[in-house]
Parts: sequence; structure tokens; C-alpha cells
Amino acid sequence: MLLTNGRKVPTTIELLARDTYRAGDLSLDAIPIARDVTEITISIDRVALSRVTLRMAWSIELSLDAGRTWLPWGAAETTGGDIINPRTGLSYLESNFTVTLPEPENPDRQLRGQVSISEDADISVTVTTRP
Amino acid sequence: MAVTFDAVVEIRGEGVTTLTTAAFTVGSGSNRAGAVGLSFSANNPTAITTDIGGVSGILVPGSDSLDRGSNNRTMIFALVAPPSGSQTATASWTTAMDCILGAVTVSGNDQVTPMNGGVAQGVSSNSANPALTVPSVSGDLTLGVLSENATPSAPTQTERWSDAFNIFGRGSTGAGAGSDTHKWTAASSLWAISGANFRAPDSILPGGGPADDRFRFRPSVFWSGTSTLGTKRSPWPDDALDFGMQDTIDDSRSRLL
Repeated sequence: MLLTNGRKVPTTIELLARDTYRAGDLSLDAIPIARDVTEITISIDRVALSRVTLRMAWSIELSLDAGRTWLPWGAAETTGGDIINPRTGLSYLESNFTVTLPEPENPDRQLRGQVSISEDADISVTVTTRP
Repeated sequence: MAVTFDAVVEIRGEGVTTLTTAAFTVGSGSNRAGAVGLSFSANNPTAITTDIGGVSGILVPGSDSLDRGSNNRTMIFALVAPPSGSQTATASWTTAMDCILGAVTVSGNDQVTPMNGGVAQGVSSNSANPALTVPSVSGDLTLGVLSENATPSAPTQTERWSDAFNIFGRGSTGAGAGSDTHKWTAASSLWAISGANFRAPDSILPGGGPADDRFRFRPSVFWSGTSTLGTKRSPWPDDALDFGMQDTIDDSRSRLL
């Protein structure tokens, strides 16, 4: 985790590089979770999602024992197209979900996930970790 | 028997149509029930479905804060007999928006009418200190769900979840005491708030009446094979009947079956 003037700050890591992906399921490889992380946000970039017929689902699993066992740890779905945030009047630039993580001192925590897209789509997936 | 808090889980999402929580452990206590509280960032979520552990929830009558034009909307869905062990809670709706989902499970609850006393408020212009009084009796457990634009303080009841991004979503529970007030202190802003009451077995709200009766129905009417909600297991036992609502039941049957 990055330190700025001695303070821990959020860190964003790309789980799935921006590219055009075929319809179907995409795996997000397991990555270790740094100590002290207590919250994560999994985001999908919406900038190139112009097709309103597109359906996307993404989910993550958490391991507390270095990948031996996994628990479902959050999931979300959304649609393509230009979606306006009624509070701002602006388009959503990403869709995301945020969950808390247990055992911040556990060095064996890992994260993995899956993305499903109903049509070919140009996307990227990132994880933001927070202390 | 009094209703006892069991477990809670929470998730937030931005620009989504479905949220599923992390795994959480539902206890093995008897007479379990659950509730899903939703805090939306827009006025118009539709076709909302919820579940805990695959058991579908049903909107507690009166708990929908409705469209107040404030881009805050709250509601509470209730269910009985969520499976024990590691489970998740899910909510789905149409039109992508922001949502904070909190799910609570309890034990020692009535298994026919899991929640009653549904109430809700919302404001269409800035107002401070959202508060709501939830009717209850001793042995019940009340639930309050808040969506607000400004940062609320700790609630007057026991806080169960608290999250913030584009909206501030909160959930709290209180031991039944006749009329529990779920209140948050906050700067003047837009907000919506919902409340409902986990019923101890056979408890009746003071005065009975609609708030106590509206949520009783014969489950087979609503969980027939033709129901759009029928893909999941009915949260009500098949023999759950409430003869006080027989007229309504018959009306529903004639329309749905």
C-alpha cells in the first residue's frame, strides 16, 4: 500500500487490461491483498459501453488461507449504454461495488474474480484498496 | 420469546442493477427471519427483487419511502427462514443507479408475518435530522433504513451498517418498546427513511389494525407456478394462513390463479 507523508492512501490496480473482449466469462487471476486493507472497490470502466443491450456481471471471491478455500465476496450487474446519474446529470464513467474485508493483519488474504459480458465489449476492470 | 439480532452484511454499488453481498454467517437459532434494507440514489427503481440465501423477500407494506423527487429512496423487504450457515444477500432492480444494501437476520421471530409496522418518510426539500417512529411491542425488534445527502451522526438506535459515497446509507435496530424512534442528526439535506418491525411470535401492535394485518397472506397465492417471483423458494410455510385477510386472499387468488 502506498504511503504519502506517512499516511496510507487508496491504491488502484488493474485486474483486466483495457481491451475488446469476446462475449462470455473472463477470469480475474488471484492476487494477494496487502496488510491493513479493509475495503475494496471493483470497478468496470463504462466509457466505451455504448450498446444498451450489453449485460455485465462481475464478482469476486476472497481467500483467507492463501488460496486453499474461497468465499463469495461481492458481486454486481449492470447494463451498457449511456447511464445518467440523476444527482449529477452526468454519465456514469464506471460501475462498481465496494465491500469490506476481514482480518487486515492476515498475510494470506487473496482475491480473485470473474467478469461475464453478454456481447463483445471494450472494458477494463480495476480494484481499489483502502486501509 | 423475543426477537434477537443475529447477523448483518452490507455492500454498496455505483451505477449497478444488481448487488450481491459478501458471504456472511446466518446463525442456527430457531424461528429465523431476515430483512433487506435498500438505500437508493434515485427515485425510480422498479421491478425490485431481494433475497437472503435464496429465500425471496417481500416489500413490507408501508416501508417504501416512494418517489419524493429527492433522489433518495428507501425500502425494506422481509422474509422468513433464511438458511443458516454461509449465505449472501442480493437485490436487483431496473435502471442502473447507486444503492447501499444492508441485510439483517434475526431469530425468535414470527414465522407467518415476519415484519409489520412498516413506515416511511421522505422530503422533497432540504430538512434536518431524519427521524421515524416504528411501532412495536416488547419482544419485537425494529429496523430503520436511511438514505441521505449529508453526513448523518450515529443513530439513536444500534447502528448495524453505515456507508457513504454518493449517498449516505445507514441501518439501525432497536428493541421493541412500543414506539422506537430511529433518528439521525444531520445538516439540512434531502433524505428518505424507512422502518419496519420484526415481530416476536404472535405479537400484535397496539390497536392492531392495518399496520398489523396488511402483511399477512396465504403464501401459495403469491408463490404459484405462474408467479414471476416463483423461481425461488417461498419464504412462508405452506400452511401459513391468516383468516383475518380471507377476503383479500380470495380476491388475490381469483386474479392470480
